[in-house]
Amino acid sequence: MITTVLGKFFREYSQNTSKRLKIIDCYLLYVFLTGIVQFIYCCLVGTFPFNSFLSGFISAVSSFILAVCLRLQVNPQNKLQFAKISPERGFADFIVAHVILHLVVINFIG
Amino acid sequence: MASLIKFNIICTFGLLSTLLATLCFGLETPYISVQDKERLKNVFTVGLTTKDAASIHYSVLGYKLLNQKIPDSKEICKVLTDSLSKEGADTYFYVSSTWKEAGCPGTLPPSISKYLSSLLLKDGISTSDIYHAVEGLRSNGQTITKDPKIEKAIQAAIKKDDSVSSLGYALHAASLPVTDGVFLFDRIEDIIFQADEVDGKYLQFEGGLSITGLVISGIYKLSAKVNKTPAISAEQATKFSNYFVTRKSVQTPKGAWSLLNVLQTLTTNKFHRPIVVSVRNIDSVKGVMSIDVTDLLGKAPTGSPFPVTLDSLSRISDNTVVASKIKFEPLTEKTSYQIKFPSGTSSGVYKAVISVTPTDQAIIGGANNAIEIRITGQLAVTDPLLIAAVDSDHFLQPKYNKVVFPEKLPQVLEIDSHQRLALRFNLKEKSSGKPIIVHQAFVRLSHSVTGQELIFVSEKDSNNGYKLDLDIGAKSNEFGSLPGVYNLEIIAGDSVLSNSLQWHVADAKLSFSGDAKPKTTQSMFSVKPEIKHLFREPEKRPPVFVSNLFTGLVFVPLIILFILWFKLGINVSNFSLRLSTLGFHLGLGSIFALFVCFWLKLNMFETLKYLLVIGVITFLSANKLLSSIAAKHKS
Repeated sequence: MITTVLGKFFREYSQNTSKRLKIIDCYLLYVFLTGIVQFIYCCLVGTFPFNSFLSGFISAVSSFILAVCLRLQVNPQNKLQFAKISPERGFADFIVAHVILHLVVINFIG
Repeated sequence: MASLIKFNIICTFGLLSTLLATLCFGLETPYISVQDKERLKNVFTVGLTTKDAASIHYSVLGYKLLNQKIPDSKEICKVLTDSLSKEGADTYFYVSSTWKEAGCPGTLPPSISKYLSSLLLKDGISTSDIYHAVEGLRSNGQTITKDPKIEKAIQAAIKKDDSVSSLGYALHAASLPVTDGVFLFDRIEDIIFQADEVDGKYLQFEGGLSITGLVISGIYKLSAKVNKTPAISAEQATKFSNYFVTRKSVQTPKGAWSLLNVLQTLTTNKFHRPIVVSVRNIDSVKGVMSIDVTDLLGKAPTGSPFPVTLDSLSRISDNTVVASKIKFEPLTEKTSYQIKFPSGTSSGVYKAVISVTPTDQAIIGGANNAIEIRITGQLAVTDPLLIAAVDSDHFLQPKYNKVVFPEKLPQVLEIDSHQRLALRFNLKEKSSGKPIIVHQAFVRLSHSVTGQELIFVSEKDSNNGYKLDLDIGAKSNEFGSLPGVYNLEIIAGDSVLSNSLQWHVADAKLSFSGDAKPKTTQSMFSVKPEIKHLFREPEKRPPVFVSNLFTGLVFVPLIILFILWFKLGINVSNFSLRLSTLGFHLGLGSIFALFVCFWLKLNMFETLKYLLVIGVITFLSANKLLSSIAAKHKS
């Protein structure tokens, strides 16, 4: 039952999603997995040094959020909400936000 | 020889300073004593050497109040003449009123009187200016007559400014012959109402001694002129005078003059003349107390001697009244009175309530003067002292050695660490023979060689005696386990005893079980160890294998990413070798490379500096690149 639902979901996704969005989705998966690896490490070994763990994990979470924002803006289905924002503009915002985010992350990582 | 002389000098100096201390602090009289007058005179003497007309004015008048001769009038006259260059009612007043008092030759220039007269004609001048101008004119020999214009000016001035100091000057101005003063007399009650009460004992005006002195002397001056009793109750007048006496340590010429002037007023006016009661001497041996009843300047009030009674004498510790309604006998000195305490009055701190009943109603403050007095006794040791070394596990009555005061136990008492030192003694008052409890009763053990000493507090036992039980073994730490002969002394004293006790009772040879260890006493003033900042201790790191494993694991998602992208058919076909494309990618890459450098070695400021440069390049090229891509999409 679930397999059929999942199978249908996957087919729909493969057919109806543009390539651009798929690239972003892959990136999201990558960030998500990186965050999980860090989380597992902290569960197994401990949070010391805490600032390093925190900045690494926050970097993953924030990157995920920024990528989701980019995906929302790039998605053609959301064109009405983001009429004034072109995909290129969204990408530029994404880059700027990343530069600022990682400046802070590196400052905090110690 | 030289050292002996030095020692003598030190002793004499020590004695003198003790004597001085007693004079200054021990006999704090509730009136201005001879010593206080001497001190105030010194304040004026300093004031005379200043170059300030006001200070010189107050100092010269202060000297006059103290009946002293001005030492160097020449210098003073020069300062006064110099200060005339500064125009003003107060300066001219200071100079005019001081000129004759200081004995300066000649007269002052007529321009001063001219200035002061013209000032009085002006509208809206303050009460202090009115007073200074009128009084200045009078000092310059002008006759002052009644002038309704000036009365109006005073009324206008106090309407404009009804502060206490303004009213104080108004009172003084109204007492001058320019008005009949009646218009201001009714306001006295209002003025007094503005005074602040402190502790229920003192009354004062905001602004302190000078303002309070100004107002009170003004009130009595005006009342004398109007010839009516002012609206001040006897109680209020007493509270004001209490306040003035507390301020006798004043250090400025103005304050000192204000104090003496107002006390002069309070001792000579015909309405209220407060008197004070102070203890002159208590002879505890004879049981005699003598007191002084004086006015505020330490003189005998008119009509002395008065009937003086001791209303009650009660012990403060338990509130028992030991005497009441005893009449004092006047002594030959007019201010002094004497009383004999009832026999059997024991030593202690007492409250004596003394009432003076003068016939003259104007003499106030005589009723219910409560004074704390100390009747001292003498300490005596009449019973023999009991001393013994007792085994710690021995609970029977020990065999005590008896020592009679002031002798010493002939043999050396040997005590080891398994024994206790037991002491029993009684302290008695000499006259009554009753046992007494003293503030301090100590037993001191001092080592005969090193001088190291330990002091123990002896406890009271059930029948008003003292005891000490000292477990030598348990106290070995405090002794530093230092064996040897210790001098055993008893020290006793109390503030109501005229003698104290220091009695070398015995020599005790102490022995301890452990080795002697010198006591480590850290000096309070030695250098303390340096405080260093302590960083947080790093916790234990995981094994290298685990760290490396996770470092690898972090890269796994990256590989997955590339695989997925590859599967999706990602390509760089859109990549064109243009300046903006290169600039953007290189710029972005170098920003992240810069962040890695920041992580490894740079600090925030350097990073921001570089980031600004790279950021601008990247921004410009990205703008160009992305807008060209967007334009391509549209077309």
